[in-house]
Amino acid sequence: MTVTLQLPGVLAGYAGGRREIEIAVPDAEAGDGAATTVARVLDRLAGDLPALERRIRDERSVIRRHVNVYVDGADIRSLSGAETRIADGATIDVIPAISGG
Amino acid sequence: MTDTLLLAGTRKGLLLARRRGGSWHTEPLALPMTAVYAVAIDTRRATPRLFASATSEHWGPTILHSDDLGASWSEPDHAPVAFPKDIDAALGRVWQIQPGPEREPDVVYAGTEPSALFRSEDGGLTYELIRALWDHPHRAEWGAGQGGQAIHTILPHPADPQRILVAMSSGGVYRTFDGGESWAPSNSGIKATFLPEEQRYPEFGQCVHKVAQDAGDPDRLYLQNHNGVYRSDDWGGTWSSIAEGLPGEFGFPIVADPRRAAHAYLFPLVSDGSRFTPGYRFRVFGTADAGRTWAEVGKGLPETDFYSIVLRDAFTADAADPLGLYLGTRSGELYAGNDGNWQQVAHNLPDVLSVRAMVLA
Repeated sequence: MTVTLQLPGVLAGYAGGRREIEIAVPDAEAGDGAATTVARVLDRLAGDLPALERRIRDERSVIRRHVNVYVDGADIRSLSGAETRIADGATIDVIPAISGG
Repeated sequence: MTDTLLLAGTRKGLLLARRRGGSWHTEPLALPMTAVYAVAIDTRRATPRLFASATSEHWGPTILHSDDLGASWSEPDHAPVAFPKDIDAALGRVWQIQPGPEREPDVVYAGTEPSALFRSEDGGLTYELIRALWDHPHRAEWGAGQGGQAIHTILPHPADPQRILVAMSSGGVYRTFDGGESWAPSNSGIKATFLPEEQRYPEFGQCVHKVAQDAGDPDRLYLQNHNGVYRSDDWGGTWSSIAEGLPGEFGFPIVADPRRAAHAYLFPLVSDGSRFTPGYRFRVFGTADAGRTWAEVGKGLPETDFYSIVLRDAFTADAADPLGLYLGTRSGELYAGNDGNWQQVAHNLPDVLSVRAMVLA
């Protein structure tokens, strides 16, 4: 299955200049019904683009506090967090939260 | 006047300034929107390597390095400093980057928040946790200062690579004699004024703000405490107050002249309850006799209405003759000076967090 990851411009430099990348998750890593989770997608990202992944998650694989992640328009904090299930073809948005001064 | 490269880490980026022919030139802020708590210059290499610890509020911490004097910055794909998977901790930020001793040219240390020490053996590109300090039974009792709980001072002994001294806020001074395999607190004589009177000299837990090493005797150290200024002549075994003669014994940075023995500098504030300069004058104090006497250093700093401070790593010295001192303020001014005059290098910067300088050939 394949999902699309959309990035803010500030992170494009860690993805070869791309704002949108396709991430293929092998069926063997997908769960029931050929769905996967945000965490598994980010695990794949850690293997392919580690400098990008470590800006989204810390070394415990926890999504950083001021990073918002949406799946098909829904904030994963209102769903199941990193364990939110994702269907084939879904879009994940990574968006900086309100922070700083 | 020597040509100089100055690195100033600020709350929102890194400023590089160069002095050539006596005039300062600043470059546009690099690493924008990152808090640069630590900068370092490793002069042990044929080409000096610059380091910057950059933390984004959104995207987390990293360490970048430059091998072209700041023209470009690089970092490994994988996190240069990260806690191992078996430890339930995440790096907050790197507070200190410290090149190792001369005889270990590829060793670089990093001090972090939460309080931990990391060691690199590849010239500062990747680091590994020194577990014995992380596993120290005191760790659960180490506290956090206003800025967080961090190791902010790392002093490798220049003559003995097995000896390393660190300081943290709060927790105090710890040292190892076996290359990091074992650690013990070393705070004898340092007062903890935030504790009840009868508990004010604990084994550990002091809020040490910064420690500096004397140029002539590596076992002689100077320490700016959270209330108190101290000297040790036995590499931290015991500490004695050298605050007499200062207008205030609170402050954050303390800097030793890298060439002249017994010379050290600091930036006194009134007290922890009044974190202003005495008389609201911007004054650097220095000693030429290892803290027996103190005097104001140089002229040309603001004489009135100065309400800012200098943070613990925002004050440094170069290795020039005559000595160059450099400091930055929380209100975004950057100064260079010495026993003669001070000169403003930059202003209107974000809060200055870290400053290091080197003489350019």
